[in-house]
Amino acid sequence: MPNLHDKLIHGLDRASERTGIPALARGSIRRRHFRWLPIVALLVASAGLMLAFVRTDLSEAGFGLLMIGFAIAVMLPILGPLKPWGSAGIVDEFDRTMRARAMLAGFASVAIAAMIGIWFAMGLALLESWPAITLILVLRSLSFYLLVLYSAVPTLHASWSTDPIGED
Amino acid sequence: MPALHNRIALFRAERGMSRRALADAVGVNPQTIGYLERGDYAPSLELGMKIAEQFGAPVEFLFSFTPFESVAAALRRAAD
Repeated sequence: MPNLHDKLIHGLDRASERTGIPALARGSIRRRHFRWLPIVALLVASAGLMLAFVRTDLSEAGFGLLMIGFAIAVMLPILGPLKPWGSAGIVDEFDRTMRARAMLAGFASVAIAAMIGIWFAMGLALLESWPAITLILVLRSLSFYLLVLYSAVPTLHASWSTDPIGED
Repeated sequence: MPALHNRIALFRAERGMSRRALADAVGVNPQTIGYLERGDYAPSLELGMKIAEQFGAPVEFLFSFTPFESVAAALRRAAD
């Protein structure tokens, strides 16, 4: 009959398993295709960025929206279909190919958004004679938006380019 | 690039082998075997040869740039 000490230890083990972190460390986490969640993250973050650019008096509200998109986006690489570099499970040639294509799409989107965003911010700053603090706040929003793209676009690409495979 | 057709599912069914068993034997994930069978992914030469070796068949028996004859058509032809 298990004593109180064993029960406590097993209870703590079960509680830690429920967090999903041990499965993540073992590489046995169930990865899913997320087709709509990255779109939601991108839409919310894009709305926040636009608000930060267009209504500089509502810059903090725009940044708040952007942070909601960011919070969704950072979960996608953890739970999405792409296995990260250094993943504990088997990463075979299909995983590597899918990851390479998806990350290329992600890097391209980050590069294009950075190019457009920097010139757009600079142009608006010159046209509307923004004070330095406004430009800093806009660039802060832009940098977090690039992180949203980096997290969400690869998952979006991988989720739409393949259909999930069921068990046989 | 032309589509690469394969008969992995047929060979696997003939031997009563699960996707997981074949995946373990050739060192990939079971989902990768599923993507190969569905034609969503063209394997590397190394993986193609490993799969062929697993079934003890030449690689051209399993992979082809032209569609394979269906089992029903092959049986009909054999019966004629």
